Amino acid sequence: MIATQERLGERISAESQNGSGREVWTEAVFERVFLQHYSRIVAVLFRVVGDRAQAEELAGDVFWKAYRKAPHPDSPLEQNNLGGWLYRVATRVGIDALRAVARRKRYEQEAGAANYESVEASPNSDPLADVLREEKRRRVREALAIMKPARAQLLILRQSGLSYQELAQTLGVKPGSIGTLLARAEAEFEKHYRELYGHEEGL
Amino acid sequence: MICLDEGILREHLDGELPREQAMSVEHHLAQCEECREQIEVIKSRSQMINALFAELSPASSEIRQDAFVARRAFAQFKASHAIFDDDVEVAGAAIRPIIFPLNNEAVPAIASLTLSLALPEESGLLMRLAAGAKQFVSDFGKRRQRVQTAESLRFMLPDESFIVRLKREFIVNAQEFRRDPMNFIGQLLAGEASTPRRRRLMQAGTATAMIAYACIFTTFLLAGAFKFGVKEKLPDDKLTVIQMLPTPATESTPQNGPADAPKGKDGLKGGSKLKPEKSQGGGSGGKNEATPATQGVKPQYSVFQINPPRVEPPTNAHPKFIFPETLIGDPMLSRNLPGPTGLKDGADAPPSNGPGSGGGIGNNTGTGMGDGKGPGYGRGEGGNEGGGLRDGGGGCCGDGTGVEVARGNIRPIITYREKAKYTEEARQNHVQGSVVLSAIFGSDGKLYNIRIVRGLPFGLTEKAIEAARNIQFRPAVKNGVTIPVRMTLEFNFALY
Repeated sequence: MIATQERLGERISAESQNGSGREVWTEAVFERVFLQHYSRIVAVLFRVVGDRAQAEELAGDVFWKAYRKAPHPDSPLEQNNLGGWLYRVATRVGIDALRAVARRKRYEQEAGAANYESVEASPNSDPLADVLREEKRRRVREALAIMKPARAQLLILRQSGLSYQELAQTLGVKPGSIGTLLARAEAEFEKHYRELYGHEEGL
Repeated sequence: MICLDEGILREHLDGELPREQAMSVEHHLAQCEECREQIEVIKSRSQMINALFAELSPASSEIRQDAFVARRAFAQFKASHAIFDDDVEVAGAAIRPIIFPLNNEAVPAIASLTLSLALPEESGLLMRLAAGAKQFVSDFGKRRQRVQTAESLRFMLPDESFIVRLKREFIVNAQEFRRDPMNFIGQLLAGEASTPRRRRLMQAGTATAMIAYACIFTTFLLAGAFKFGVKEKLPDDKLTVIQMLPTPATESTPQNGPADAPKGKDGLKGGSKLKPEKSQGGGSGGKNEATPATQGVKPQYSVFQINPPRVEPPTNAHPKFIFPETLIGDPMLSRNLPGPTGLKDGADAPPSNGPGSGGGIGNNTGTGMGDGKGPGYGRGEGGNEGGGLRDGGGGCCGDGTGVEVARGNIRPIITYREKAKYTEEARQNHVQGSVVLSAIFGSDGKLYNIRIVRGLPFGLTEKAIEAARNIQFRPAVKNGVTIPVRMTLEFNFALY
């Protein structure tokens, strides 16, 4: 109790000394950031992991990291880069989760365990189409999981609609190198995808 | 000529290059076959990846994106990480829950202003009285407000349950007692014998109590000595014998029939006992006729026999009471066969009841049918069918071939079937699956011999059996006759 009070006092004093050291989140500011980015973060994570519940859980993790480590949106050094920071962390967290799942599945397959994909049927949709789409998604994710994480991250961010400028800012690289990085990432993805499923599809 | 690297080409495809650079790239592409091929590769690859990743984007049904969802998520986030807690915020504004100074803590100023009782104990009686008086004077005339304040602060008092208080007081007293036992007891009794009158009363009370205890003790002793409370036996002469009940005949143990008698299988073909038993019982018959008994079917079985089977029609053309022809045996063996009465393996000859005696059909004595004796059917003695003596009532048919397995049209029609219920344990342990039971669907519409083919834990198998017992069905029919068949039942257990 006493410890909490002390820490609390520290934070309040830090807040009052405006500008010196790291800023402290206040509820209003953090809530604004949360509400502003939450939906898009969940959507990005859903693309990566393909499961809504997991996406929401991971989004919670991302914001918790943001709460503890992220630059404050008002701090002068990192002006307006909080969104980029969140996307970077979210894609990375998603890819890590994807790789963990892929690893687990490999072990299970080696152990001979059954490997059923659960397809959540949504109302008024064609179940067959759902299954086919789910299979396509699974293949993309499988290829993503075995790629180099940084390249997978770049692909996902690019496919989430970020411009070259935003990509460079988010990933902290020079804008001029994005083209090269992207070309390499796409080449690697295609290679893995063809290795996995090239014999089945005309592509 | 220097070819362009893939990064530049990629950027050019996305239109990210500055205008002049884009123009020079176009210029180069127009000349360089190699780079044109290269950019085609990059382009088709990029298109393929775009198409594949487009599949990843969530459908509207898969993900909800609105402010409400985000707000709810934020509330959950706050709660799960215990940040921006309301308590903590209030604490910043210096209003904190106050615990009363039962353990000599310093009193928060706010409490001492409103409740004089809340003063620290070190301040002594005089101080407390003085403070109380001051409080009283200062609060005089604004009584209502003071009460209100006290009411509003009541929630701050430690909420102690009776048990907790008892425990606390016991601990305190035990400490006192351990420190100075004599003094503790002395203190306890001090109030009891302070005046001569009190002392007298105490002595009188003690004496009364002792006498009362002595009385009770003596009563118990006396009761023990005289066996008080044990009922006396009634003298024998008051009993009169009203009737002597016949001692029930013990069921004779079944005996085996002749060695060549066909044996029944799997019990239930007509028998009423659940477990298959050896085929027992037999028939008899004959009416001293020269010709052997005629071929035909046997009549129904009954527990009594009024009208023995016979081949010729009854002489009374218009009887007032019609008794169907019966054989003695288990009614379960009845099959309602159509056709004239006669032996199954009888002669294809003019109607004859056979050379036996006793009124039945066949070669031997008795009112039954067949070669044996007695009112049954077959070669043995007594009731029922088969080769041996009739056994107490169950038995099985001699020519039994076992229970058929349901197939095709020969299967019972289930008219009512319950859903098996979940048990609480199974629900908690998320047990799902199916229980498969195999049972004989008797010709009488009841279920026998339920076996578990595949079970589930946590009482689900029992629940399935329970549900199976409540099944209602129309028995299977073969050649116009209801027969028992074995069939499997499956009960599904699914949580959702």
